[in-house]
Amino acid sequence: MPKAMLVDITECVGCGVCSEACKKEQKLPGDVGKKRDYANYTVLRQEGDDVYVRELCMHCTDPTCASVCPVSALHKTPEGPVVYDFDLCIGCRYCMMACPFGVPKYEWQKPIPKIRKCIMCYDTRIKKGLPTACSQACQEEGGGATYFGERDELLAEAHKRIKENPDTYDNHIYGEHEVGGTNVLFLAPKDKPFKALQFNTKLPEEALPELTWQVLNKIPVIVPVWATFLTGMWWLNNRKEEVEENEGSKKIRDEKLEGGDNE
Amino acid sequence: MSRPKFKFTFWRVVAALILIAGAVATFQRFVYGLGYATHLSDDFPWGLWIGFDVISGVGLAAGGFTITAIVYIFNLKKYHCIVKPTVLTAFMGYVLVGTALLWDLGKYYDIWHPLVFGNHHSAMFELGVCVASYTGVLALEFASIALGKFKWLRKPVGFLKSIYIVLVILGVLISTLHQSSLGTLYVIVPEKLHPLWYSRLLPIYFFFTAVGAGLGMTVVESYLSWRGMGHEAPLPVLANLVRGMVVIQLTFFVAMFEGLIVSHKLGYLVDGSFESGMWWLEMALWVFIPTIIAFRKKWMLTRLGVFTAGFSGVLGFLMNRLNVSMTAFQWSAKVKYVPSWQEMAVSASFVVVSFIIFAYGVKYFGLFHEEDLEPIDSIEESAVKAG
Repeated sequence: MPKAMLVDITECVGCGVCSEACKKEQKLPGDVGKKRDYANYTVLRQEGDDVYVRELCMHCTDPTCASVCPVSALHKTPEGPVVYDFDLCIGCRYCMMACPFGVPKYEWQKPIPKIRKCIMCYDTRIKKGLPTACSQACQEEGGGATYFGERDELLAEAHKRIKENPDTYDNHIYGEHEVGGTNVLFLAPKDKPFKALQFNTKLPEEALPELTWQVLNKIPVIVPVWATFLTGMWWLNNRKEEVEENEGSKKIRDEKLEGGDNE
Repeated sequence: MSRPKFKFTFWRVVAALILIAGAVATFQRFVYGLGYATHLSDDFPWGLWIGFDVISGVGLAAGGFTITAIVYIFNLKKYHCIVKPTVLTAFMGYVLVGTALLWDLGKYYDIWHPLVFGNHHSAMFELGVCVASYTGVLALEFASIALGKFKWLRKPVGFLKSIYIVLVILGVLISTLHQSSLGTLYVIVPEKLHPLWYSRLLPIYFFFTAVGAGLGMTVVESYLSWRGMGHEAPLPVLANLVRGMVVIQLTFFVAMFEGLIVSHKLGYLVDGSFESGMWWLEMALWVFIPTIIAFRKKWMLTRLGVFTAGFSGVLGFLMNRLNVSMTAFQWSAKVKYVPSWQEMAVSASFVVVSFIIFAYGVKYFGLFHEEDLEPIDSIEESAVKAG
């Protein structure tokens, strides 16, 4: 079953142990930054006085980045994380263009750059059945706002929280349906709903790769039809010439034309 | 053989300066990386090199499949005189696009990966495979046209000529796919592109307008070779290409405008924003101006009229592709993107290189001469007289 994370924004105290744990686990250079970039897979964004929003890869169920990648350097694992293979990558940055959450970042300062993004600690933890570094740090040292577990169990938990405390929570689980669902889920406070927290609330429920696929799946249909038409047009248009070269038929046509004029 | 003396003219000095700047920029890009040489960033990952060199470049080379289809599939023989220059430009265009892509790709040495590790759900994969295979087809088409003058190559050239129609049909098929998939690239970002340019029909728009651009570009090339070398295609032929371009652009305009109406986007046209201004400028260049010129019979009899219409169409096409790839994307991006001098120098260098190759092509391969096809000459002459 796919693993997932649930971030309950009402419980976040903004301590930032998640970002620090991520840096350590992924061996990212420098201090914890304010913006996501090649060295910061997850950061905290402060909204108002005491509301903090974690920014990280959403690990979509049907990831846009993986679908646009011409070489499948990004792909979705059965365990849930969307991971990256530098050996395949050609550095075209289509993933950065297409991601609806602006997640993939680039090593702009390097001559041979990598795409960098949260991979949900796939190699070092998920594969071994361990929770992600950020969620473990949050539960053990921080405010306990990031939970790790099975996606359907976390969804059930989120629904339960909204139902039991309708005055605390915005009645929406961000990531349940957005772009076909994601493996990172958010709960927002009632007085600061997702729109106020600058989440993109206009995203469709349909997975975005479907948009491209609706175009690309027409290709096998179009090619034979178009090929037949073009070959047919060639045959038709060049046949005229053959007909004209044939003197007999030309004569007949001329006679016919003359006859037509007389009438 | 005595070498002709090399003269320093104004344009040659300009070209040399551009190439020097391009060389410096190239050094910086490959040694210090994209971040140093470009103004690209995490918030604006595709800039001038993708928008101009690749997305516009492929479209401008569309004359190759358009003109060969007109001449060989639709058997309109009077256009045969422009097959050679357009096939050369198309071939050169595709080779340059593939080369220019090396500047933009982070791991340029793995440019072949899509051909081996392809993900067939990606529009970029389709684009890569089609551009690569079409470059191959164009190489064969060009070889059969240009290499006939070498005696020792007669046999393979003869074979290529005998299967030329197969190459033409293949070329049209592959071009249909990849001209449209340039538009498909942007279908997946509905919330990032400005509503005036986003449409799920972008692939169809891109294909049609590439045909128009191919016709316009043929006119522009003919003008340049007349200015530079005194060779040109007959004016009535070029005038008809402009008329064809205008019909395609008007058809596209109606279809696209209907799209704006049904999706309630007309308000964006008059909101006075930067984007609306760019939209009107684009439409003026590639629809309104060529249309007005094309419907004035007097103007279409003059070289100036025909070439102005063709130029305007090509500029409008460029505007459109740059608007989709940059203006429309800028609308949702968090940072302002203005290309760095290095980006402009490299793009300008590719333009200069293509001018030089084209000039040599006209000279060396006799592109505007028709020596080997007698029956067509007579048709051409009658066309000139009729015009």
